[in-house]
Amino acid sequence: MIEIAHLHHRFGNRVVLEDLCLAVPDGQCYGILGPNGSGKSTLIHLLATILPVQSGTVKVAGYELPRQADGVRRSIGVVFQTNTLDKKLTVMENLELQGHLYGLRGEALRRRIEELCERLGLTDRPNELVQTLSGGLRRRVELAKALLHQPRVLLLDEACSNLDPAARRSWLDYLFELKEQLQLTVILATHLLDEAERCDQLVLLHRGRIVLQGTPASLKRRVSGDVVMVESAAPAALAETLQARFGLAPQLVDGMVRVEVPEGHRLVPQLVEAFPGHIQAVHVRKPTLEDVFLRETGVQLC
Amino acid sequence: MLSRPFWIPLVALIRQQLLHLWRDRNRVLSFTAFPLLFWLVVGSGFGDLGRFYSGALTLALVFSAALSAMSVIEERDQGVLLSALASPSSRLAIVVGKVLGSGLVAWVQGVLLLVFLPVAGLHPAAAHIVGVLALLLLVALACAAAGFLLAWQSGSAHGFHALVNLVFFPLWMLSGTLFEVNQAHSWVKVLSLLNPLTYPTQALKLLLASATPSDNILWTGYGVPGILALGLIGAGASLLHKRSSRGLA
Repeated sequence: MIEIAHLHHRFGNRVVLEDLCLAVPDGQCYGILGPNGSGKSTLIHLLATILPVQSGTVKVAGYELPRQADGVRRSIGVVFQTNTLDKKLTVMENLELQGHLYGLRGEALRRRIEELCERLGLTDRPNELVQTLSGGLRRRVELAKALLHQPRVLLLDEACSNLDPAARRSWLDYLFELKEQLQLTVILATHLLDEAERCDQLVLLHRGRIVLQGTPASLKRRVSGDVVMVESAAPAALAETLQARFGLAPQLVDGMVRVEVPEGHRLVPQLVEAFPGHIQAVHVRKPTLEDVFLRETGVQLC
Repeated sequence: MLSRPFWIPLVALIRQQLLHLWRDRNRVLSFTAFPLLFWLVVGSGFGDLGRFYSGALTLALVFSAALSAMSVIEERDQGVLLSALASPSSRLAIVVGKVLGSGLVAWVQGVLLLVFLPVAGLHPAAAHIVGVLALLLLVALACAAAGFLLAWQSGSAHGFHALVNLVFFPLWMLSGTLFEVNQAHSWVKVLSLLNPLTYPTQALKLLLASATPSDNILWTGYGVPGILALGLIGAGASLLHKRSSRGLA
């Protein structure tokens, strides 16, 4: 459904995407996971035809950019990170305007709006001004907007990053239900783990390059055992000693010492005994995608 | 080849701005306060309200059209314009829709000021009023198109404000609203003759005074803003094709 080969993009002298190759099959949800500045938004804006392709080939639903941009535009729905709703208009007026941009009108457009409002729990909202809606509802209207013209591909650029966790979970439930019902191919750019976990495949993007790709489960298996996080007043000194005495490979993350070990619970008493009075807290947990990203790139997701 | 929707998005974008005008009518009405104040204070100061009336009309048009184009800055990066750019709508339809919408909003504000015609001591015939309405519409469209172009290329609303003051205010001052171009110092006269706003202003003054402008004044009065609007709309559509690649990561 989406084929990207040797895609390069730069802003001035700054390389934003470098030799990016990616193939997304029909009906799959691919998450593009990376911190701010990794090139996620640029990739979405290129696929959305907002930015011109500078080098490489991009095909969406069989249409090639830039030659067949109109075909691509008809095949994609986009939910941008920023608001694209007109706050002075009602939900219905916003959806009508979006439909008109695709040449839709009359009964066909009205039916489509009704159907989407029903699917997205917006049936009692059509005449409300967007400026009176909560953030979660606005995002649902954005999703309805993106699906109005029945696209085959949905592009999401940090689409629910600004929502609180509960609203985000609800929004993601709507999204993945619609993905199944409408058999959509989804590209979801995010730096949030709960979004990433729900994707079929994940692409880890760092400084414009793909560093790793796989299912969320297969990626997490790359970090074996447990992750132990140690809080201390002198984390740097602690990390040095841990390396020397225990032969571990500690990292300093957010002012804490982080180590990966096969059995975290066995390390805890040894640490407390070895550094009496120097340890403020110890956390043991299973690896997350954040740990995978950190291991592969040396930087955190957020 | 797939067809690009043209008329439906064009009308939808005009409707969007007319809905803004209706929902924000108090704010829009307040935009006419400054030209009205200028006219009342300067006209009364010179003891001739009729003399500065055309200046108040063009002032309302120029600034309203330019400032209503300011929404382009926000909508370009986050808003309806961003959605429009990702849609298959014709780029020309997007520009024409935005310019016609902004132009109509400005025109309505100019037309509202026409209620003060009798206070200014001006009593043009019905045919002259029709001519004035058409002239005001062309000037509003040309200013809206110029506003769109400047707004599209501006980095921020602050920068755009500065541009409006640097470009539109001098154009208005040199259009013959404050003085007679023929009696001005030679360098001012040259600048005024280069100013596209001079020609419709000249025709407007004559129409408001119920005088019959010469063919030459009519042609230039209607033709200059008309051609300018068309040219600027074309330039705007071409700019949308080459959206700059800045600021994303």
